[in-house]
This record gives sequence, C-alpha cells and structure tokens, in this order.
Amino acid sequence: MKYIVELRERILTKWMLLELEHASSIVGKEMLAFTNVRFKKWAQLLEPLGKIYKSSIVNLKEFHDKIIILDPKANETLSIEEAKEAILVIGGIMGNYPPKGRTYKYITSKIPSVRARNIGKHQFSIDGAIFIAKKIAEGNPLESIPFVKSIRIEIDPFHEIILPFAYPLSNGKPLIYDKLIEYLKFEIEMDEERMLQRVKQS
Amino acid sequence: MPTTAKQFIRFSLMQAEVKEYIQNKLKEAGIVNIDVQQIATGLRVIIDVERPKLALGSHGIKIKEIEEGIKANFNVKNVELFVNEAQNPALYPSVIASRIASALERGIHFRRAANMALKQIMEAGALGAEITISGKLVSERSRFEKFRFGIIPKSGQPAHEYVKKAVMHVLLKPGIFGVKVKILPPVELPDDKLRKVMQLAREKLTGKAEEVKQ
Repeated sequence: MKYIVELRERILTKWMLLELEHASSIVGKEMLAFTNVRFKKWAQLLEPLGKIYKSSIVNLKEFHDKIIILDPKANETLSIEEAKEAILVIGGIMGNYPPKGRTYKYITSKIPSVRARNIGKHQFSIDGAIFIAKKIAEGNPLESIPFVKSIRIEIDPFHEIILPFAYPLSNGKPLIYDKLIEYLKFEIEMDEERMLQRVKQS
Repeated sequence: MPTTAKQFIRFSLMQAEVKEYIQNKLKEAGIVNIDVQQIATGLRVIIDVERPKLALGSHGIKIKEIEEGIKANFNVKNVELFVNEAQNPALYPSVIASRIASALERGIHFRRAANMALKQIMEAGALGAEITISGKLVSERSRFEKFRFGIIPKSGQPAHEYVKKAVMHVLLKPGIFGVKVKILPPVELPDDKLRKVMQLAREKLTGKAEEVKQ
C-alpha cells in the first residue's frame, strides 16, 4: 500500500466514486487504501478499488510514522526521496472554489506530529493528486509535471462546464477519467434532480 | 478633501444605500432599474419594475411604507417616488438573474432554470445572452456552468457599450450560488465591419445548432 485516500465528504457521490475508480486504475488496487469508510455500503463500493479501513487516518496511529499528508497548505514541497519512502495521504475531499483548506482542517491539524507536504499551491482532483504523487515517486520532480489550472468540458455548442481545479497533463491532455466526462455530459442532471427531490421530501 | 468632493461622495454613498434598501423591499416586484436623483426639496426616486402592482401594494400602501422608510433611515425630508412598468423586462439582466435565483430557491434544477431564462431572453429579441451559474451545484465539487445563445462580444468597445451585465448571489443548503447574466439587447451596431463579424458568427452558430439537432 502506497497511497491512502481519507474520505471526508458526507456522502459518496458517483462523481467521487468515479475519481476513486480512476485513481485505482492509475496506481493499482494493491497500492491504494481508503480510510474513514464509515458505512457498509461505502465499503461494498470501494472494496474492488483498494483496501478498506473503517477508522480515520487520524486514529490509525500505527501509520503515523510512515505517512506524509499531501496538503496545499503545507509549507514544504514533496521531494522525490520522500515520495519514494513514505505512504502518501490524500484528502478525499471534492473541493470548494476558492479552496477552504479542509485537508488542513480535518487531517493535518489533527495530527500535527505527522509530516505534511504540498504538490503546489493549486487544488487538484483526487485522481490528479494521486497521479502527480506517483510521478514524483517515479523520480520526476514536481516542476517537470505539467498541469492546467482549470478545464472546460463542452456539453454542446451552447453549454459548457468549467471545473476550477488543477488537472495534470498526460500526453498533452488534462488527465480526467473518460467515464467522468460521460457522467458530466449525460447523467449528472438526472442524479442531481433525484437528490433535489430527496431534499424537498425530507 | 474639498467640500464639493465630500458632498459628492456622501450623495453617492446614500444613493447606493437607498438602492439596496429598495431592492430588499421590492424583491418580488422584479426591479429593472432604480434611479436616485437629488432635487432641491429632497430625493426623487424612479423605479422601473416588472410587476408594478406588487411594488405599489393595495392602495399604494407598500410604496408609502418605502417612502416613510427612506425618510426615516436616510434623514431625508421629502421623497418623491415613481414606479414605472418596464418594457420588455426579459432584456434586463437583473430581472433574469433574480428570476433564476428565485427558481433555484424553489428547488428547480439550475440547468432547467438557466435554459428557461435563455429562451425568454432570446424570445424577447436579444442578439445574444450568456448565463453563468457557479458554486456547489447540488454535487460536492464546485463548478461553473455556462449557457449561451447568440452573440456576446467579449472585448473592446461593443462589449463595454452594448452588453448589459448583472450578478446575483443566492444562499442555498449546499452553499452560495452565483448567477451572472450577460445580455446583448437588440441594438443597431454602428460599424459595418462589426455587423459583418456578427452575421458570420450567427451563421456559424446556426450551423452548429443544426448539427446538434441532427
């Protein structure tokens, strides 16, 4: 196990699940683990993607001397040596714009003895952050990994979605899961309608 | 600072406060424009609204209330309030932004609200419109969604002179939503060259629309 995603959202949306699925396909199931998996249903969904821990990384003290938290608020940048030797913890947070610093609030500030490093000042998607961490661990310095600060997804000539998060470039193109693009184009509206109805009923 | 400059700043500040006060009081009436003028006896306020009946209230009670409110809150002796019905309100971005905001508050999906608003704008005869909705749009990740139709000049004098803009914020359960509306009303463009560019863009857009339909 090399990468840990600490789940910190109230609900596990399909969007997040797709990002985690992509992350698992980037690094492999054996290299990925999920912590703070609070519900059985989440565990069922995430089991095919990596190892499951019910507890939060904050309480999994056996890992504290081996881990590095990837936090945009950290002062130091992740070095190649650190990326090679440590287990890297990524905040399973879907992100606000502008960022609210929730990785710091929920993880870094709660275990101050643990090392925290940044991979730049920008807020990456979960799969994007794991891709960058993997690249650094493979011996590429952070400065050599190209990225874009936001991406546009054209739904049709009259409608586009802008995601104001950083995405690494892979072969000159932003690294985003094909299934996620399909989801944003065709399925998200129905999903959100259902969610709105549930909120109305409650 | 010279006294005249001080007076000018003081009046501009009061003007902004009076506008905000009226906007809060007449939210449902669909405010298009508020013009606050200083006259010898006090203030003259001209309000253009979408639904004047709602602005006036029964027997003019609401408007009298606002008049009294301005007198008391801003220390003005005399206030003349006029309410006009706006012609073609769908061409005013502030009206469209408030319509979208109220649709979001009622739980309508933002994509449907934006598309409905876009249709209203284009039916009113606008040359182009762009609606941007941003925030945590139901999902957990923040995003921007842009809906556009027709032509919207983005830079240069046409963008500055002809495009009307409005921004509104709505506080909902997932967080704050931002609604930004840009409208290019039906204007006679002065430059022949510009008109040709617009015509070309329109033809290109119509072609794209047909592609999508097919």
